[in-house]
Amino acid sequence: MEFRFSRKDEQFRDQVRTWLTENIPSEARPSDGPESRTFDTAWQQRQHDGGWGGIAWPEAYGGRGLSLIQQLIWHEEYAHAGAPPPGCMFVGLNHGGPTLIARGSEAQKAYHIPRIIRGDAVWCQGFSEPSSGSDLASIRTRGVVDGDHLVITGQKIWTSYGDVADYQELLIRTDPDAPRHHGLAWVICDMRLPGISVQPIRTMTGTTHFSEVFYDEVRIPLTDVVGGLTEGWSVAMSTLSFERGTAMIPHQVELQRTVEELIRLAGEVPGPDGRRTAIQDDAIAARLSQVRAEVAAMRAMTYAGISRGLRQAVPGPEGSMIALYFAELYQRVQETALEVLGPLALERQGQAAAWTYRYLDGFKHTIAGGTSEIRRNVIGERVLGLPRGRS
Amino acid sequence: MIDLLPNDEQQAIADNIAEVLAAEAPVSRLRDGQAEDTDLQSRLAALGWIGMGLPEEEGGVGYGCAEEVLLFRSAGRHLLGPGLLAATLSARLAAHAGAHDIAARLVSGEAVSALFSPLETPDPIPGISGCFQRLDGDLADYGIVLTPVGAALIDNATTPGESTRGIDDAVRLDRIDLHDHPVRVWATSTDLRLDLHADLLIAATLTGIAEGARDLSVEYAKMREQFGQPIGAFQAIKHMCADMAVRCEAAWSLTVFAAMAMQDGRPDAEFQILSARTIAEDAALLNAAKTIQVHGGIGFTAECDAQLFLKRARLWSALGDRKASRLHALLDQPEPVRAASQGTAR
Repeated sequence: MEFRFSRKDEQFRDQVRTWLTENIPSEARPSDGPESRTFDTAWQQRQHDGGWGGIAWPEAYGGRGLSLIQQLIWHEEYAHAGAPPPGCMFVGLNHGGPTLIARGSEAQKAYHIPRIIRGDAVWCQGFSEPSSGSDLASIRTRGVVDGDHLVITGQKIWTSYGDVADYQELLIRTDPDAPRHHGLAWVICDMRLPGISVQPIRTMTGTTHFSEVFYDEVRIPLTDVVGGLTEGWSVAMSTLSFERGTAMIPHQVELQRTVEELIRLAGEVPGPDGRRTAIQDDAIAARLSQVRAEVAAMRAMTYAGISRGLRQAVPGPEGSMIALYFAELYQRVQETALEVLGPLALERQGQAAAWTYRYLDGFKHTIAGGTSEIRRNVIGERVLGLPRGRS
Repeated sequence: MIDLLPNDEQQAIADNIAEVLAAEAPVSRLRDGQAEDTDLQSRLAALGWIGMGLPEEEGGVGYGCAEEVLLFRSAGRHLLGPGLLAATLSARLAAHAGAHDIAARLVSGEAVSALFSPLETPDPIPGISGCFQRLDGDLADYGIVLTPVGAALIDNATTPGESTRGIDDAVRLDRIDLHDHPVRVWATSTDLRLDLHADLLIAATLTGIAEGARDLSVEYAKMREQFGQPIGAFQAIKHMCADMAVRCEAAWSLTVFAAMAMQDGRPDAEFQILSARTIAEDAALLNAAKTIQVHGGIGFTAECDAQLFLKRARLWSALGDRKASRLHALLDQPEPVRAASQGTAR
């Protein structure tokens, strides 16, 4: 048990902190649409030019190949510096790219990897469908072989950045007669192909950062299939093995900063009695302190996740515990914020704007990327060994 | 190096402690509502457990906070009485103040100490006055009192206290009034944060209780069948167990992180320890309560171990600072600083 950074680590931290201070864009990130793509790709290009384009990627693929501790340092410094989120670069950097590195052909890697890492290509994900959310293996979007092509017909939903993406990692059913998990293919879909239409979905926050995507006999070259015509499920699963505990670091640091900002805010705005500040109200003070303790636990849990990542090559199911804890803690923090704001929470501009946005946006955390209910099932079954329910 | 997991030596220590406690102190020993075996602690003292975190010059084993929290976690899981904490804190105080003979007698188990928990903030030195709840105190040689201004080791009261039935049948409880009671060893809180050390070890204890309760639930959920399958297959039960597991992970990760902060003398040690005590207490109380629920009808009976975990969790949560004042103290703490860059003082 140890929590100490070496001299080399501290020098690295210095390097990172200096570069970020000198290079973080001063303008705010546009929340959605083509302007957000321009912002995100420009920031990725700047990071790439500075040598920070793909910190966890192998050097052979243009990345930095940083150690897990160095990745931790990068993520902590990045979040503490208030650097912009990756936005539409997220899928390419964290899903599409790593999947191609793990399972792509040489030609696929040679073409796509440099474009992702330089910020020249934006990726999105086509996995969920209106009838297939938690039960991803039930997807129905169909791919039929026709000569050198796959002809795709169907529909995807919740495709983040679908309206600005160049490529999509698309999961389709190629063999409806095979067992559910076995007749699937993971294909690279060029979003400009004829037959594709993208319909942005407005979320409860008012922004449109994801879309429905419709495929009407879209012809994708067989050379864009990754892995094999029926290997899609295993290819999709190989993406997860890339992540060894660092995914939560930015979320945890941002949440810590949010709580500290909220504590400062509570010392400024009027409290429930209208005379003293919010933090002078005992109930509000207790809630603030409680989430402060819980955020401290979140931080320790992410370090525990890193510790496991350093010891084992393949991530275990414990990551579901951290993800679940984060999602529900995030929501508790945002609820506490609205309590602090009192009547100001009625507004979506001025001082309250960022808080009311985060409160509304927070509802996605217990749903996206694995619902809390599914996460509890995973914890119960794979961490605790409880039996699966009979279907 | 960032590692919240035990290294090989620490794992061996933890495994050994678990083995000893499984043999010497199975939870089933408390089922009949009897108080803790008074010999148990002297047997554990003989193994060096009281001096685990004391330097070798003080008769200790020379380990640090990391090993101490491993010990107290296991002690918590086995529902070991408060005597181990009392002896550990007393020995640490005595050693710090240079009372080496007392420290040695406590470490060897020759002398026993009891927790004196104040009902109201006691008047400080030169003599301690106030009303206290004394735990397992009838046969103790010393008592340990933690106050906001410092920690006191006192000779045990000679007059018997007013015996009280406690919520936890396994811990003997009495009320003691002290009037200007002489203090054997005293350290101010500017000199020694024994209260923080206590909070850390209690956090570890509560984490062990939370984990013991979780494991009881999981075992039952795998074994008990209704509607043709183990009840753990049903999401309601499965999710209750999953939540217990998450609470344990939060409590233990933070307890370890806090232990390392204390061991390394980091400026955020108090912040982390207050947080750990809060999270671990929540985990123990909730997990124990939900374990009764998972056990259904049997969970409500005296023969089920679930109620033992609940009562012990309640005992620990009633000691020392109440949650409200601890949360207040946590909010007063400065924000934990981010890691320093090179050249900045640590």
